[in-house]
Amino acid sequence: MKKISPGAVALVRTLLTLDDAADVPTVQEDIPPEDQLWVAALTTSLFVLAVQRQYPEGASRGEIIRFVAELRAALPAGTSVDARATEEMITSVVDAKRREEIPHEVAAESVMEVLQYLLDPAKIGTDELEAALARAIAFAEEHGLDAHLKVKESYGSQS
Amino acid sequence: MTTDREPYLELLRELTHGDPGAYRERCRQLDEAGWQELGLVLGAAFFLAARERLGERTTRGEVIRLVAEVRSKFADTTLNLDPELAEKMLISALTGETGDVEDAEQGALLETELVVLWHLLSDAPADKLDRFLAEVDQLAEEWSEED
Repeated sequence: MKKISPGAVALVRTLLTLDDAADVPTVQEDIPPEDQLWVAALTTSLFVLAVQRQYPEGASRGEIIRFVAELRAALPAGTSVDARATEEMITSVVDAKRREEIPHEVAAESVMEVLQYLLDPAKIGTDELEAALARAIAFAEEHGLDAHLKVKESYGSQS
Repeated sequence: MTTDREPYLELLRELTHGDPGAYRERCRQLDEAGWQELGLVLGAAFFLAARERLGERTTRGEVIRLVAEVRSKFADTTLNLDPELAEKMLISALTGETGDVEDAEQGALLETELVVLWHLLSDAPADKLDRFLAEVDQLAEEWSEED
């Protein structure tokens, strides 16, 4: 089993607690090449686990539309995220049969906004954030870049 | 109502309270001038209905939630309105600034107007709808005189 580098974990922790999502690309520029894949695997694992935690019994499309609306309404003025892409990203976790092709950059932005919304330490507390990170690290270390698919397979065997 | 806009105002009534089949049949019979007049009526109705529902001090969050409410009603259909466009249209109706929606595709604008209007008007009692349609008629007349 490969270990995620502490640098990759620290970077993801920084990304989650950024005040302004516009700073994400700046932070990402500083990621060493050897850590980039781990950062991707870790954010993907975090995203899937956070969505599962939000919707342990699954969710209707209407629920997801309203959730993304609340997320967008909470964004600071001047900040936005693609509503339909974010809905599709969440739907792809809740319903493994649905997979929409979302451009990578749009998907990455949606994932980070959802993570910042669901894992905001001001709302869930630092302990819960660290627990979520620990679960995601374990999963990402076990499954590497296949984390997304593996987590979905374990999600209630919906497919 | 005895204006020449009456058929289009009646179309709006059919859309929100009447027979969807009759509405579609009437739309099929429209010529180009008819579509233009319907567009004027729908634009005026959207403008008035948005202002009545949201008011001047509406926050961005309230607009986002209203559009989500509309889209949720169609969540199990193939209709998938562009939420950002719908929000821009509502904000444009509130502010009078049209810059953000001027480049939007006409079909998308029309579809968004129809769906949002259906949502905003479908619960209105008949007497309120009558008054609303009279206001739409008046505003459409003012807009056509400005052109």
